[in-house]
Amino acid sequence: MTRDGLVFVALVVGVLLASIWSLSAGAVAIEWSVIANTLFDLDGPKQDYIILKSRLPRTVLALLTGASLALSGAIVQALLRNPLASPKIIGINSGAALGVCLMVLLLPSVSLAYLPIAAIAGGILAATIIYIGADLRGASPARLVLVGIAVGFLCDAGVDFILVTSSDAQFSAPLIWLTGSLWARGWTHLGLVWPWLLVCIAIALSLFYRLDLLRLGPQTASGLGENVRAARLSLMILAVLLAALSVSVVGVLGFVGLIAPHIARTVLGGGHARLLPCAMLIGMGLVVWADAIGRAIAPPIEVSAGIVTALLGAPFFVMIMITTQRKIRA
Amino acid sequence: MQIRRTFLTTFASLALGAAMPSWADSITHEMGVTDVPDTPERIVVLEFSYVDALASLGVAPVGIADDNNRDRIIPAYTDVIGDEWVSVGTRKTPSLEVIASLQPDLIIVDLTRHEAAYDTLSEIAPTIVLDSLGGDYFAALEQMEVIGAALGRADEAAVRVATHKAVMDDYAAQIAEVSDGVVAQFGVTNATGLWLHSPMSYNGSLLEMFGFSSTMTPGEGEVYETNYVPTTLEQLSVVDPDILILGKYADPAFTDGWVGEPLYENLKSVSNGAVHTVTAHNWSRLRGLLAAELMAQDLIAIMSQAGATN
Repeated sequence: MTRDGLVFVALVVGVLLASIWSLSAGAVAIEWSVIANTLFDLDGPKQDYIILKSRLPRTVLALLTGASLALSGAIVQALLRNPLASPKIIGINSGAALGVCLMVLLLPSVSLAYLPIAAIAGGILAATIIYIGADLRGASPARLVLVGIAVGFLCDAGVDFILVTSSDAQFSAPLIWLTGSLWARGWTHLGLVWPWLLVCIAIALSLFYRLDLLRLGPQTASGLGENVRAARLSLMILAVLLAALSVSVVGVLGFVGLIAPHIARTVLGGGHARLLPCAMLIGMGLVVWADAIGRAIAPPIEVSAGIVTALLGAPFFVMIMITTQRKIRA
Repeated sequence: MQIRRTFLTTFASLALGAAMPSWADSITHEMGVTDVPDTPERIVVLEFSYVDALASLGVAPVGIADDNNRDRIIPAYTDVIGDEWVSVGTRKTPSLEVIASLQPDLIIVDLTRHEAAYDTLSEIAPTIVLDSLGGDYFAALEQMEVIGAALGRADEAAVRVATHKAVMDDYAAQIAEVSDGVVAQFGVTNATGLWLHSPMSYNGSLLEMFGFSSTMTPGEGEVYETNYVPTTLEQLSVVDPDILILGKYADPAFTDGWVGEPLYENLKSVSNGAVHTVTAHNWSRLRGLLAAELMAQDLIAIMSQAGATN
């Protein structure tokens, strides 16, 4: 088997192990036999609620959002030809966060069930402003990054202003969401997003050749017959949808979109035919591990998955950077 | 009334067959109407004020969101409910798994904190939602009656509230001698700031009931939008209460850093020696009948101290 093949087998096994562990990790210790009984409807003691209604939907949701955030990050990095880019650059996190805060502040009587809609609206609005702002003189990657950072800071300032000036208790629920958590997420939340996410994931995976073309730079890409502007716009819309839909259910899980494509690139190089599925698997594993660790680390306290991804992801990320540097020098 | 209800329940269970559980009460709460079992026995509560309500009725919950810190359930409660409860984690994000593993037949949750989890909690057990965090003292009394009804102990709850009101009236009469025309303000301070509890808050409404005034007036055309108002030294000097009651979560607290500053030393409460420290946990996190009685006792101690120095 080739090295790439081995990497993929290892990743798939890793994601499977993470998912299985995620079903067993949590505040209530459940024996493996009980988990098996519940999952496969065998005779014997079962734990229907905890396994089927709590841990299983959380695990599936973690797999799906992890995949989406990683793909969104990979697309944005290729689009902007910038390894520091992530869905945050195109305004998703900050725009969604501002949308949520504004909804809680201005429409306090509206049920929190509409929070995902406010998040999607905020994210898409911020992304639109960024694209229009950058497109005024042709959306070059550098302009997208600069306008994205500016709009992002503007939204962040709005969020900070709202959180600091109104210390009202009504913000305790959105705060959990702002750290990116799968707490109290179930099949209903999954039901709202899975068809859309699956479609977006499939489209993203099939567009690897466009990302390869854009990576060559706009002149080379258009020289090869690519309509750069149209490709950029459609890919950006795809990245926005992937990230905004994920953020709407699990909150601001910031780090995955930056780190997953990076790890994939260090392991398999920049060709998107391999990079996209590899980044996707890494994102899936990362979010499943983060959620399971957050549940298992100090039960019955739940640590937000967003905190765990940043806490564990950052040192891992630095380690990868250091080791690849060594390889290049050697 | 009781006899008639028992009769109806018996009739209903005969009609439906003895194997059916008897869903006697439909409880109307902040997020709808929930059918709860006749007398729930395994109750999980996700706010301290519901521990207060259960303790007031002599009922022990099986699970409490005690922030994973059993000391947060004070002796006034453990004297009644014992210490057999299981911690279900923080009030912000309680562990749904632990709640499910307790196999509760009633869950009582807070509107602000747990609205987003209502559907998920309802899958575990009948769940009722009350506005504890955003509610004042009088709301806490009403919630006591809702909880009484949910526990199938509406009559006991009514009696308990009546006794409580009598006790509070007695305290109020003692405090009224000194509270007329006096501005009293409660605030919580930690290492980073001071938060005044507005007249809309639980403590604010209680101080008002005892006859104290408040100078936390909303500006022109404004209404109070929040219960807990972050306050700087300058803002405090505008409120300038006669009596300042502080709950300190940190030592030294943020307000301790103001000692020596002219603006602080010139506050009426500071120059008159009328700054009093109370247990922050009891005053700011606890709400309910027992908590209100504890607060009243603290106030009487404060007033007698003030009387002694004058």
